[in-house]
Amino acid sequence: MANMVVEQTFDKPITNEEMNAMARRVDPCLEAHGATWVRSYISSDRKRVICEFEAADAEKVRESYRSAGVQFERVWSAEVFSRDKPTASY
Amino acid sequence: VKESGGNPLFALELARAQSTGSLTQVIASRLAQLDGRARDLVSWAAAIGHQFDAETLGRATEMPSGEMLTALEKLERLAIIRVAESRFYDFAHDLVRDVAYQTISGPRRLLVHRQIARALQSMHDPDSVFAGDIVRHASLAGDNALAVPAAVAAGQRCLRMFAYADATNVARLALQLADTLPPTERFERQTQLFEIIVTARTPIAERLKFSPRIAELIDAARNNGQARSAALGAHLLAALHADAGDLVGAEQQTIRSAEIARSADPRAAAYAMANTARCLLFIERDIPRAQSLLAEVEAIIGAVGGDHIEIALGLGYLHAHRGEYESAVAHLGRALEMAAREQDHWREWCAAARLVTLALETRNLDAAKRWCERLQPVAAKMTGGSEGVRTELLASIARFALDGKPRDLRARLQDVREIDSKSDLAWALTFIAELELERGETETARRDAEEALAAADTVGRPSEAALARVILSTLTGKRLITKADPNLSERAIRCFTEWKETRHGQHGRRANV
Repeated sequence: MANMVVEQTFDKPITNEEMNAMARRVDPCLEAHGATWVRSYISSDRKRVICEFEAADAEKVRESYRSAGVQFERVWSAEVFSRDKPTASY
Repeated sequence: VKESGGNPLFALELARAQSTGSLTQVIASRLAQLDGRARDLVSWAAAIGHQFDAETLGRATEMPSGEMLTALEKLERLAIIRVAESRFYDFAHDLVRDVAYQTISGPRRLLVHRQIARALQSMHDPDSVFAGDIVRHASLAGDNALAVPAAVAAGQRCLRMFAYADATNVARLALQLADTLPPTERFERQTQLFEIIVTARTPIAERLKFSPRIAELIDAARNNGQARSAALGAHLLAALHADAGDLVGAEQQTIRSAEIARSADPRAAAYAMANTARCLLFIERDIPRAQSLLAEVEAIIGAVGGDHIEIALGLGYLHAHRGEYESAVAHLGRALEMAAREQDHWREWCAAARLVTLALETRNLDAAKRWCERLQPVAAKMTGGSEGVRTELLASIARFALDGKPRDLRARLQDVREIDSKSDLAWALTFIAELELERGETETARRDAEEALAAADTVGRPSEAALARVILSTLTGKRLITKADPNLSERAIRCFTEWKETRHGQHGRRANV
């Protein structure tokens, strides 16, 4: 499974209830597509959301969102980047 | 003053008519003094009820609007009616309305109420706002054929507004009226009314009291050859049992799955099942389940009526999967039109895209070009997704299939790699490899088939994986197909069968028929 990132933007701040309602719509489609939600980030003004999934390809996530009628900005596959450990300066 | 209800005008009238001793008589005599149009209008308005508007009054009385407005102005001036709110009038006093109503003779009352019910029915009312009033007037007119369907609409409106007790009351009243309807209509209406009662979230004990009557309806409908009403009745009974926690009883009542049994709305359940089936077909997983779900959907829809994009789309994909091309095109075409009508761009795109791939798979290249043209404006309407890139790839493949010139084909394939749509990549590369194999371009065919196989395996596309393996087996002479998969498409099975028959035939294999 690869890492997938979904970007969403909203005109009005989104509430937790709305986020949960959206998740309830998308979840059955994601499950059918063998995709798993990992975590979501929401901006402080609650107008931007980034969701992370594990899926076989990005299209599975797009299809789940489309099928559930949930809007998104873009979906892309990603690699996890880990910084080198900072070198001790003492 | 007490008798006048605090209305100074009537208090004055009463004082003037002390000898009569009755305000009712005073009002009756005042109304009798009105001229023809105004007196007539007062009767109609009283029959409509406490509040009435000029449009309903005009439609019911069929009075020319000029004359009606003059009469209304006069009644307003005489303080018999007053403007209540926005476009509504009301009687200045309930007593006036009561007296005016009493002056209408019994037989005429029936005609007046029927006329009002018909006037309301003829008005544009998409939300069934007038349905309750139609029920009242039609039942007062003894016109049950008009009252019962209006009660169904009123009950359904109550359900939409979560007014469950009101929904049950109106359905219960209409069930009595429905007894007088001719058999065919009676069964259909009674079923709709029971559906309202079962769906309303009133206490289950209350709803269960209707079980014997629903069971009687099922038997009567079946005996009268009304299979549709009998089927829906069985669904309702099952739903009641399921709501009561009696799933065994639910199963005994119907052959429907527990999923259906828990739903009081078989159409909604059928659409949900169609959605699941369509999803399975899109991802080419658990196809036998998708097939049985769609068979059940067709049975339910056959019994209770209705249609949905998901049903047409699911059936289109299923028939395409089975290699039944003509019916696949018909279902997909239906899905396309429904989705276009409902502005469901994604499903419109999905239907059109499958029509393109189907046309390419059957080498109907003119049709492929035509469907690509239909696909492009739909993709242009969609933002954020992959549809634009995938559309361009399909158009490029269609051109390549027509004249064998690759043009921008590799660039479009790279675009699809970048958006990470492996199912599309697997289908595209398999199809391109088939064309290349036919043209003797074995090296590119091998490369494309290998990439197609990897992509198909990653996302679990058994048919594309099998087709890629057939191409690679043809090229290498080695048997790369290992086991049969119940999810394989007819196209993949046919290609594999042909490969077996012409084994070692190498480049002579026909990729498609």
